Amino acid sequence: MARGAQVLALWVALSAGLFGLVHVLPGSPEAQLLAAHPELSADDVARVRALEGLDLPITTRYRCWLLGRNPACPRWPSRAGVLDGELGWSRLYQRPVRELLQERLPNTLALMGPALGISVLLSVLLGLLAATRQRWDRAVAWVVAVGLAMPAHWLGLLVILVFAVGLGWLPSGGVRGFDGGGRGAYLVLPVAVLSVYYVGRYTRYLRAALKEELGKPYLDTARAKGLSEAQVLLRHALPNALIPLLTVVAQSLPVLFSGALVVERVFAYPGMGLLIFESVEERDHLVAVTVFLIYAALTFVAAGVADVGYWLLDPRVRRRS
Amino acid sequence: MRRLPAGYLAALVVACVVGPAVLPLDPFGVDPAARLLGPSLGHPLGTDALGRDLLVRLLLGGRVSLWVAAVATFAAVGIGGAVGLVAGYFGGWLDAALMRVTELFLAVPKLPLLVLLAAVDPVRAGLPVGPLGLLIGIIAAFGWMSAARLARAAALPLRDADFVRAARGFGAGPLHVIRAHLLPHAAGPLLVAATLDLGEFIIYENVLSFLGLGVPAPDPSWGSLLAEAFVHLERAPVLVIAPGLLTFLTVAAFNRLGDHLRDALDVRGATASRTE
Repeated sequence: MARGAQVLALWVALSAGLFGLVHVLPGSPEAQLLAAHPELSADDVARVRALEGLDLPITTRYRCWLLGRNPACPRWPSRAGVLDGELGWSRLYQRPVRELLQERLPNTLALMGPALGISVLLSVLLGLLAATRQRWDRAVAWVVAVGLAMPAHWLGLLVILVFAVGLGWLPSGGVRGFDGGGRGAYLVLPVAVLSVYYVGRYTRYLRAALKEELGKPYLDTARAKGLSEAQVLLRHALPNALIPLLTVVAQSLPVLFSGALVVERVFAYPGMGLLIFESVEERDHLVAVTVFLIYAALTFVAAGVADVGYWLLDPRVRRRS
Repeated sequence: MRRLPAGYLAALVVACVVGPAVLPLDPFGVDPAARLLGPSLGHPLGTDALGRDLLVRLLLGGRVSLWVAAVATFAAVGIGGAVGLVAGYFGGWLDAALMRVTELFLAVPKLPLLVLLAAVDPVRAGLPVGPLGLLIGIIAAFGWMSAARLARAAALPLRDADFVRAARGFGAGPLHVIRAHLLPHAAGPLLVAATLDLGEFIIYENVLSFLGLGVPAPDPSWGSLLAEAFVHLERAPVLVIAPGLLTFLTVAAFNRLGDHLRDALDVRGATASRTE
């Protein structure tokens, strides 16, 4: 119970802090509205201010966003607050933030899910090859070095240049064709770019961990029992080597939500990354506050996931607690 | 092969520092008649969308990118070194608290936060820095963790070493012990951290400038050159290929150099780039 109260207090403090920070970013919504539509009169701007609640003090706006229901609050489609299950109103899209998330999150999951999955599988394969085959070790080291040094946005531009502009095999960006079909084709390039990015990072951990495990005496015991080399590797060394990778992958979990900003930008892919970027750039305050809060929460959850994972995978941790 | 990264980096720094000064080309001279030209004698790599020479802008951009990364590295190693040495020397709850903070900073996917902070107007926020200073500041603020971990690992086993106890016995305060006795032992690890950070920070700068949040126009940097070239991908691919290639090679060289230094100085636990 005390822990619940702590989390609640932390959440309120975090949301209030974020709310304040987002609202003091330079460039007022009014100025941006006027820049986009210079024909608006001062009266029009005043009406928009009243409608969007921009003339309210920031503390009131925070209360409205969180609690809603107050007649002083701006009337978006409803006066519902976060406590009623609404997440605020996107000024940029003129839609509820909840709707926006429901549209963007599946896009990002369709991008990040396969990318992370492919990366883990490939890095296990590469790690095993590097640890057991001398000849492959150098090649894998090169893959890791390239993956670590490659700026993802640049690689994105390069593959667009080759596969979209040059060969014309795949679309250069977007999420689906005008007829709404062919989603898979739109995912190939961004997923490939993200995979290169993550494979470098994951393989590096796995290769180091596998090499360390392979030098340990318990593997000799396993061999002495008469296990084949493959069994020694897959049943004994690999599970232990996967444990450090778990932290790294768990750290990537918030990215399932926040998406891959630069890659989404290069491929004009309407996922969460672009939404976060636009919300900051266009001062779409309530979107920014909401996505950053969810993302902070997920970061904590991911740390917890890693801990639980350790507990499940590593008997030594279990015994200690 | 082993000397290649250091040689490349030395040549790059010389070219970036000297090049823009001696080349008879103007990095800012707009020429509407010479837009998006291919390579020629007058413009070895061609020109950009405003008719500015690409080669000299690449070199000048390298100067900016390397400078931002270098200053940010200096700051990050300073912050991280201080945090790590204090945590390692005092141990106990202070160590635990500082390491929790370090882990938190490591666990947060940084890019969305960097985007948010880079949108702050330093003047209105009352910070005595320009846009470049803000960029360096936020890179350092999210990049000090590897230095902190390595410095702590160097300091921790020494906190009860004989020479440290002797110094304490002579009446030396914690600050003196950390500076005079622990810092020299952390110098190697910090050098490794600095080398790896340089590569990582070049990517940070690149990404932020690519998103339009880094080095402000008209100053070139490798990231802002990519951002400008983005829309001309089909007509002038060299504008996109060149700055990215330099970034890639430079980051790879710093990573490689950091790995060599780590092996040579026998620093455990240093790893390149955990960027999200």
